[in-house]
Amino acid sequence: MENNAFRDQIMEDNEHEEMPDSFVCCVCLDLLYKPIVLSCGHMCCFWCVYNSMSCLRESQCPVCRNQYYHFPTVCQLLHFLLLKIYTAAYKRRESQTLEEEKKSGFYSPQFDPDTCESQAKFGHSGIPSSSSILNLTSNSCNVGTSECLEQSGSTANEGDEGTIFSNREPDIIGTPAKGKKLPQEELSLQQKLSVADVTCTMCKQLLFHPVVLNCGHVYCQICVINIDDEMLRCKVCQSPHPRGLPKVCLELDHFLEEQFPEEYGQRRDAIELQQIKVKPDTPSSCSLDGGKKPENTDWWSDPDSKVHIGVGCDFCGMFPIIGDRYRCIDCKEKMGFDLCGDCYASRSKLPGRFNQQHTSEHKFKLVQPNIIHNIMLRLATAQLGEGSIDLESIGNIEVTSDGAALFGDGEDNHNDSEAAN
Amino acid sequence: MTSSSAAARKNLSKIACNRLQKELVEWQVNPPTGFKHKVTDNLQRWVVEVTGAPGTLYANETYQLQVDFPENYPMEAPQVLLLSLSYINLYRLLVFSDVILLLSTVLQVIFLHPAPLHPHIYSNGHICLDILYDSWSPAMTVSSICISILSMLSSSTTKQRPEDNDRYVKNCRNGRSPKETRWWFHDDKV
Repeated sequence: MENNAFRDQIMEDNEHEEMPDSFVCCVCLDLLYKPIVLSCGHMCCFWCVYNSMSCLRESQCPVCRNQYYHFPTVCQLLHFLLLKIYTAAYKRRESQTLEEEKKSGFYSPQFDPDTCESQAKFGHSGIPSSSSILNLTSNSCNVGTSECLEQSGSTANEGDEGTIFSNREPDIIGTPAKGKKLPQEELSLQQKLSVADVTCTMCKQLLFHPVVLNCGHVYCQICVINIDDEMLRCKVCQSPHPRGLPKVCLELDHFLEEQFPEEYGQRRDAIELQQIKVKPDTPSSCSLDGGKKPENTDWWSDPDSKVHIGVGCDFCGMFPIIGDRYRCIDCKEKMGFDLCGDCYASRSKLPGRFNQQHTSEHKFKLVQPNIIHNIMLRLATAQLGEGSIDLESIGNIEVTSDGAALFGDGEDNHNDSEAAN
Repeated sequence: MTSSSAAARKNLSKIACNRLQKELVEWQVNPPTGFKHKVTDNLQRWVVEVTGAPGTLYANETYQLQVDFPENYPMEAPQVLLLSLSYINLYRLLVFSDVILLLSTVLQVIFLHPAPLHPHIYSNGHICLDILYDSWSPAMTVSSICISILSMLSSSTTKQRPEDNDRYVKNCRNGRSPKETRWWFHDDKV
């Protein structure tokens, strides 16, 4: 209880909040909130990834420009980990984000009963409780008066205490002495965090060189490599991981090495003993993916491709959807619920990525892309200077405009996609 | 909605404010060498003083950069905006390019008068540097942009205007923003 009281105080008083030096989102420069790990191993917040994705073509990692087509799912392991380590800052991020979400009418996925509580606190009735969809153990927490800070249902932790912090009167604060704050916080961090929080989905041991799949599940790099499947699939949720092997999330890896030096060392030794080659330090995490490219890379130069601009698949995350698109006619959320052809065929059961209350009884209809609109958009944005545009096809249009920086002698001008630094 | 001035006047979103404040704090703690931020109370427009690096053509010369931030900084125009473009606006975008600003709104960086003589800097202060336009990434910061500009200055071997300077500047006379230009990046030599 006492512990909780000063926690609340820190939450209310941002000035005293300690800014983390790791787990900072490169886009908003704040603590990661609902972190997503891209297949290049870089992390951003849920909304930061969504907003920086291109709704017209493949997106690029903000850090390394690695291309990706699928909006990954939030990494729940990291979500609960950050909630544990930086409780106060994470709570602040939560309320800030919820405010923005209410303004926009689009919601991020909800994971824990904790968020139900805050919805009640903010007096918001628009979002139905998420506990029903995710089937978490919400019965252990009395919504509105108390909150569960950690629920292990989704993080696969055995032996978790499921600590319940009362949050009934957050305004009655200041009981503990200020001087006690920091050491106590540090101490509790050490106690709070255990190997059980950061285990591999596959081998159930401490993560070593962690990689995060598109579905948000975390594996050791070695555990994923061992799966010799054609298309990498998550062992837990069976969702496919597109575009080859993901790269190691170095930030998480360094954190683990620092936090659990002993266990981490043991894992490293064990793996070396097995004589399985894990590339040392995997510096490849920052290099561009020069490997295989999927067949639909150049869809925008193919007028026949069925592209649903600005619409993503709520199961695999493909954004924009290429090919068939099925839209749920029963989901009432502003975001809507759509599936790509493949995911429609496999009848996924996951809830939407934006907290839509989709159920398997809902009906779908096939939606055709708006071809004319697509072509116009394609031409228009091609002018914004994408590297691989067909210059001839848009050349005629450009002549009519002012041609400000468009030089007459087109031969030696090339669109340089590399930064001049 | 299609005029540049209207878009530029829009207030910063809360997310943009938070991020800019963080950038400003970081700048104050750890300013990039050769740059000085002129303190104003306007978060949306920064004026930064650049001093040419010693040993280069611009050594000891001081110029001023003006950085304007869009409403949704550091993102490009929100997805919704693009999707909501009507056929008429799309047509205008294709033919007159006057709504292009909406699509490529990142941040606007120009040199205040007098702009340095450089093969990629126009006399009206506009800078031909891809990361300011197409190659922008939301992970970039004002400080990283500044360093890129200084590096562009430092690697120049001649002090001259771009070849098409007169034509370009004439075209921009009505107060056009560099973001309304479709940039063709000359080369990556300088």
